[in-house]
Amino acid sequence: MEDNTSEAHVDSTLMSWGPENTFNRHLTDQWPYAIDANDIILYSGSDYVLPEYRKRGINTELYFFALSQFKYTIKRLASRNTTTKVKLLLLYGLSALSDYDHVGQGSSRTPLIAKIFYEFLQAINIPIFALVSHRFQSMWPIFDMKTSKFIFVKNENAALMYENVLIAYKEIKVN
Amino acid sequence: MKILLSSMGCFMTISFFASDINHSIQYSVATQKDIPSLLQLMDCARSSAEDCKRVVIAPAHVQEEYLKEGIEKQRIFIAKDTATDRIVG
Repeated sequence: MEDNTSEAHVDSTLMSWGPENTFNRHLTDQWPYAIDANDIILYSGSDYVLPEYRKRGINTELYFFALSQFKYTIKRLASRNTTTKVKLLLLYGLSALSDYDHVGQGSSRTPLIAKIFYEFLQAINIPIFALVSHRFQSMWPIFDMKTSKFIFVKNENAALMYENVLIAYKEIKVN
Repeated sequence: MKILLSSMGCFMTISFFASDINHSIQYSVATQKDIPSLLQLMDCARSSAEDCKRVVIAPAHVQEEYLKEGIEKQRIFIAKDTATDRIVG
Protein backbone atom coordinates (compact mmCIF):
# COMPACT_ATOMS: atom_id res chain seq x y z
CA MET A 1 0.00 0.00 0.00
CA GLU A 2 1.40 3.39 -0.95
CA ASP A 3 2.08 6.15 1.57
CA ASN A 4 -0.35 8.64 0.12
CA THR A 5 -3.42 6.44 0.50
CA SER A 6 -4.38 8.14 3.74
CA GLU A 7 -4.80 11.39 1.80
CA ALA A 8 -6.99 9.60 -0.70
CA HIS A 9 -9.13 8.07 2.00
CA VAL A 10 -12.51 9.78 2.34
CA ASP A 11 -14.25 8.03 5.20
CA SER A 12 -14.82 4.74 6.99
CA THR A 13 -18.17 3.49 8.18
CA LEU A 14 -19.18 0.61 10.39
CA MET A 15 -22.35 -0.87 8.91
CA SER A 16 -25.10 -2.81 10.60
CA TRP A 17 -28.74 -3.72 10.25
CA GLY A 18 -31.29 -3.41 12.96
CA PRO A 19 -34.81 -4.76 13.42
CA GLU A 20 -36.91 -4.86 10.26
CA ASN A 21 -33.79 -4.38 8.17
CA THR A 22 -33.14 -0.82 9.27
CA PHE A 23 -29.71 0.17 8.06
CA ASN A 24 -27.21 1.90 10.35
CA ARG A 25 -23.95 3.68 9.54
CA HIS A 26 -21.47 4.74 12.16
CA LEU A 27 -18.38 6.68 11.23
CA THR A 28 -15.33 4.89 12.52
CA ASP A 29 -11.62 5.58 12.73
CA GLN A 30 -10.89 1.99 11.80
CA TRP A 31 -8.08 2.90 9.46
CA PRO A 32 -5.61 2.02 8.16
CA TYR A 33 -6.21 -1.65 7.58
CA ALA A 34 -3.64 -4.17 6.51
CA ILE A 35 -4.14 -6.63 3.71
CA ASP A 36 -3.08 -10.07 4.78
CA ALA A 37 -2.08 -12.95 2.54
CA ASN A 38 -5.07 -14.91 3.81
CA ASP A 39 -7.55 -12.22 2.88
CA ILE A 40 -9.98 -12.79 0.06
CA ILE A 41 -10.45 -9.94 -2.37
CA LEU A 42 -13.31 -9.73 -4.83
CA TYR A 43 -13.38 -7.01 -7.43
CA SER A 44 -16.63 -6.00 -9.05
CA GLY A 45 -16.65 -4.02 -12.25
CA SER A 46 -19.53 -1.92 -13.48
CA ASP A 47 -23.14 -3.01 -13.56
CA TYR A 48 -26.02 -1.74 -15.60
CA VAL A 49 -29.72 -2.53 -16.09
CA LEU A 50 -31.78 -1.12 -18.95
CA PRO A 51 -34.03 1.70 -17.68
CA GLU A 52 -37.26 -0.11 -18.60
CA TYR A 53 -36.23 -3.14 -16.54
CA ARG A 54 -35.32 -1.32 -13.34
CA LYS A 55 -37.03 -1.52 -9.95
CA ARG A 56 -37.52 -5.29 -10.34
CA GLY A 57 -34.54 -6.39 -8.30
CA ILE A 58 -32.64 -7.54 -11.38
CA ASN A 59 -29.37 -5.98 -10.27
CA THR A 60 -29.70 -7.49 -6.81
CA GLU A 61 -30.35 -10.94 -8.27
CA LEU A 62 -27.48 -10.52 -10.71
CA TYR A 63 -25.06 -9.53 -7.96
CA PHE A 64 -26.14 -12.49 -5.88
CA PHE A 65 -25.81 -14.79 -8.87
CA ALA A 66 -22.29 -13.49 -9.58
CA LEU A 67 -21.19 -14.00 -5.99
CA SER A 68 -22.75 -17.44 -5.96
CA GLN A 69 -20.44 -18.55 -8.76
CA PHE A 70 -17.60 -18.37 -6.25
CA LYS A 71 -19.27 -19.69 -3.17
CA TYR A 72 -17.29 -22.93 -2.98
CA THR A 73 -13.97 -21.17 -3.56
CA ILE A 74 -14.74 -18.41 -1.07
CA LYS A 75 -15.95 -20.85 1.55
CA ARG A 76 -12.89 -23.03 1.15
CA LEU A 77 -10.50 -20.08 1.38
CA ALA A 78 -12.35 -18.51 4.30
CA SER A 79 -12.36 -21.77 6.23
CA ARG A 80 -8.77 -22.84 5.72
CA ASN A 81 -7.29 -20.90 8.62
CA THR A 82 -9.15 -20.09 11.81
CA THR A 83 -6.17 -18.76 13.73
CA THR A 84 -5.88 -15.45 11.89
CA LYS A 85 -8.49 -12.83 11.17
CA VAL A 86 -9.47 -13.53 7.60
CA LYS A 87 -11.05 -10.55 5.91
CA LEU A 88 -13.27 -10.70 2.86
CA LEU A 89 -13.00 -7.58 0.73
CA LEU A 90 -15.39 -6.46 -1.98
CA LEU A 91 -14.10 -3.63 -4.17
CA TYR A 92 -16.39 -1.62 -6.43
CA GLY A 93 -16.54 1.83 -7.95
CA LEU A 94 -19.43 4.24 -7.68
CA SER A 95 -19.95 7.46 -9.54
CA ALA A 96 -20.26 10.53 -7.34
CA LEU A 97 -23.98 10.70 -8.14
CA SER A 98 -24.49 7.17 -6.84
CA ASP A 99 -22.56 7.61 -3.62
CA TYR A 100 -22.59 9.72 -0.48
CA ASP A 101 -21.11 13.17 -0.84
CA HIS A 102 -17.69 14.05 0.47
CA VAL A 103 -18.94 14.46 4.04
CA GLY A 104 -20.99 11.27 3.99
CA GLN A 105 -24.39 12.85 3.44
CA GLY A 106 -27.02 11.94 0.87
CA SER A 107 -27.72 8.49 -0.53
CA SER A 108 -25.58 5.73 -1.91
CA ARG A 109 -25.83 2.33 -3.52
CA THR A 110 -23.48 1.01 -0.84
CA PRO A 111 -26.17 -0.10 1.64
CA LEU A 112 -27.76 -2.35 -0.98
CA ILE A 113 -24.42 -3.75 -2.12
CA ALA A 114 -23.38 -4.29 1.49
CA LYS A 115 -26.64 -6.07 2.25
CA ILE A 116 -26.19 -8.39 -0.72
CA PHE A 117 -22.60 -9.12 0.31
CA TYR A 118 -23.59 -9.73 3.93
CA GLU A 119 -26.55 -11.95 3.04
CA PHE A 120 -24.41 -13.90 0.60
CA LEU A 121 -21.84 -14.62 3.31
CA GLN A 122 -24.61 -15.62 5.68
CA ALA A 123 -26.07 -17.92 3.02
CA ILE A 124 -22.79 -19.79 2.63
CA ASN A 125 -22.33 -20.00 6.41
CA ILE A 126 -19.44 -17.61 6.80
CA PRO A 127 -20.04 -15.85 10.12
CA ILE A 128 -19.24 -12.14 10.07
CA PHE A 129 -18.83 -9.97 13.12
CA ALA A 130 -18.33 -6.62 11.40
CA LEU A 131 -18.83 -5.01 8.03
CA VAL A 132 -16.86 -1.85 7.37
CA SER A 133 -16.94 0.42 4.34
CA HIS A 134 -13.96 2.52 3.27
CA ARG A 135 -14.12 5.11 0.50
CA PHE A 136 -11.30 6.54 -1.58
CA GLN A 137 -11.13 9.31 -4.11
CA SER A 138 -7.80 10.57 -5.41
CA MET A 139 -6.20 7.12 -5.28
CA TRP A 140 -8.15 3.94 -5.91
CA PRO A 141 -7.51 0.48 -4.57
CA ILE A 142 -8.05 -1.92 -7.43
CA PHE A 143 -7.37 -5.51 -8.27
CA ASP A 144 -4.83 -5.57 -11.07
CA MET A 145 -5.70 -8.37 -13.46
CA LYS A 146 -2.27 -8.42 -15.07
CA THR A 147 -0.26 -8.73 -11.86
CA SER A 148 -2.96 -10.32 -9.67
CA LYS A 149 -2.14 -7.81 -6.97
CA PHE A 150 -4.12 -5.35 -4.90
CA ILE A 151 -2.72 -1.93 -5.85
CA PHE A 152 -3.49 1.76 -5.58
CA VAL A 153 -3.74 3.77 -8.77
CA LYS A 154 -4.34 7.45 -9.41
CA ASN A 155 -8.01 8.24 -10.05
CA GLU A 156 -8.08 10.45 -13.13
CA ASN A 157 -11.73 11.31 -12.46
CA ALA A 158 -11.41 12.00 -8.76
CA ALA A 159 -14.23 14.54 -8.76
CA LEU A 160 -16.63 12.13 -10.42
CA MET A 161 -16.04 8.77 -8.81
CA TYR A 162 -15.34 7.00 -5.56
CA GLU A 163 -13.83 3.60 -5.07
CA ASN A 164 -15.38 1.63 -2.25
CA VAL A 165 -13.98 -1.23 -0.24
CA LEU A 166 -16.36 -3.30 1.83
CA ILE A 167 -14.54 -5.39 4.38
CA ALA A 168 -16.30 -8.28 6.07
CA TYR A 169 -14.46 -9.41 9.18
CA LYS A 170 -14.88 -13.10 9.68
CA GLU A 171 -15.56 -14.47 13.12
CA ILE A 172 -12.90 -16.76 14.46
CA LYS A 173 -13.89 -20.17 15.68
CA VAL A 174 -12.89 -20.85 19.24
CA ASN A 175 -11.93 -24.47 19.77
CA MET B 1 -5.71 -15.05 -2.33
CA LYS B 2 -7.43 -12.73 -4.77
CA ILE B 3 -10.47 -13.57 -6.80
CA LEU B 4 -12.00 -11.63 -9.60
CA LEU B 5 -15.71 -11.57 -9.13
CA SER B 6 -16.37 -13.70 -12.07
CA SER B 7 -13.52 -15.98 -13.00
CA MET B 8 -14.13 -19.71 -12.95
CA GLY B 9 -17.78 -19.05 -13.50
CA CYS B 10 -17.10 -20.13 -17.04
CA PHE B 11 -17.13 -23.71 -15.90
CA MET B 12 -20.59 -23.42 -14.52
CA THR B 13 -23.70 -23.35 -16.61
CA ILE B 14 -26.06 -22.82 -13.73
CA SER B 15 -28.84 -20.44 -14.56
CA PHE B 16 -31.83 -19.53 -12.54
CA PHE B 17 -35.01 -17.70 -13.26
CA ALA B 18 -36.90 -14.98 -11.50
CA SER B 19 -40.37 -14.35 -12.80
CA ASP B 20 -42.37 -11.20 -12.62
CA ILE B 21 -45.67 -10.25 -14.15
CA ASN B 22 -44.39 -9.65 -17.63
CA HIS B 23 -41.04 -11.30 -17.98
CA SER B 24 -38.84 -14.19 -17.03
CA ILE B 25 -35.30 -13.18 -16.36
CA GLN B 26 -32.51 -15.68 -16.77
CA TYR B 27 -29.16 -15.13 -15.04
CA SER B 28 -26.04 -16.68 -16.50
CA VAL B 29 -22.39 -16.25 -17.39
CA ALA B 30 -21.79 -14.44 -20.67
CA THR B 31 -20.57 -16.49 -23.60
CA GLN B 32 -19.03 -15.58 -26.93
CA LYS B 33 -22.42 -15.26 -28.59
CA ASP B 34 -23.45 -12.66 -26.04
CA ILE B 35 -20.68 -10.21 -26.98
CA PRO B 36 -22.62 -8.19 -29.62
CA SER B 37 -25.55 -7.81 -27.24
CA LEU B 38 -23.21 -6.82 -24.40
CA LEU B 39 -21.64 -4.11 -26.52
CA GLN B 40 -25.13 -2.83 -27.33
CA LEU B 41 -25.86 -2.67 -23.61
CA MET B 42 -22.70 -0.62 -23.05
CA ASP B 43 -23.66 1.72 -25.89
CA CYS B 44 -27.08 2.13 -24.30
CA ALA B 45 -25.51 3.19 -21.00
CA ARG B 46 -23.18 5.61 -22.76
CA SER B 47 -25.96 7.13 -24.83
CA SER B 48 -27.82 8.18 -21.71
CA ALA B 49 -26.29 11.25 -20.12
CA GLU B 50 -27.82 10.42 -16.76
CA ASP B 51 -26.72 6.79 -16.82
CA CYS B 52 -23.22 7.80 -17.82
CA LYS B 53 -23.05 9.86 -14.68
CA ARG B 54 -24.33 7.06 -12.50
CA VAL B 55 -22.56 4.01 -13.91
CA VAL B 56 -18.83 3.53 -13.74
CA ILE B 57 -17.95 2.18 -17.14
CA ALA B 58 -14.48 1.35 -18.30
CA PRO B 59 -13.49 2.98 -21.58
CA ALA B 60 -14.83 1.10 -24.58
CA HIS B 61 -11.41 0.12 -25.86
CA VAL B 62 -10.58 -1.43 -22.49
CA GLN B 63 -13.74 -3.47 -22.30
CA GLU B 64 -13.55 -4.54 -25.92
CA GLU B 65 -9.92 -5.53 -25.51
CA TYR B 66 -10.84 -7.86 -22.70
CA LEU B 67 -13.77 -9.19 -24.65
CA LYS B 68 -11.54 -9.92 -27.61
CA GLU B 69 -9.00 -11.59 -25.39
CA GLY B 70 -11.74 -13.92 -24.29
CA ILE B 71 -10.99 -13.20 -20.66
CA GLU B 72 -13.58 -10.81 -19.50
CA LYS B 73 -16.60 -12.46 -21.01
CA GLN B 74 -16.06 -15.39 -18.70
CA ARG B 75 -16.40 -12.94 -15.83
CA ILE B 76 -19.44 -11.07 -17.01
CA PHE B 77 -22.78 -12.04 -15.61
CA ILE B 78 -25.88 -11.25 -17.55
CA ALA B 79 -29.60 -10.99 -17.03
CA LYS B 80 -31.53 -11.97 -20.10
CA ASP B 81 -35.19 -11.51 -20.85
CA THR B 82 -36.16 -14.96 -22.03
CA ALA B 83 -39.17 -13.62 -23.91
CA THR B 84 -36.99 -11.52 -26.20
CA ASP B 85 -33.59 -13.18 -25.69
CA ARG B 86 -32.26 -9.70 -24.99
CA ILE B 87 -29.60 -8.91 -22.40
CA VAL B 88 -31.21 -6.42 -20.05
CA GLY B 89 -28.58 -6.21 -17.33
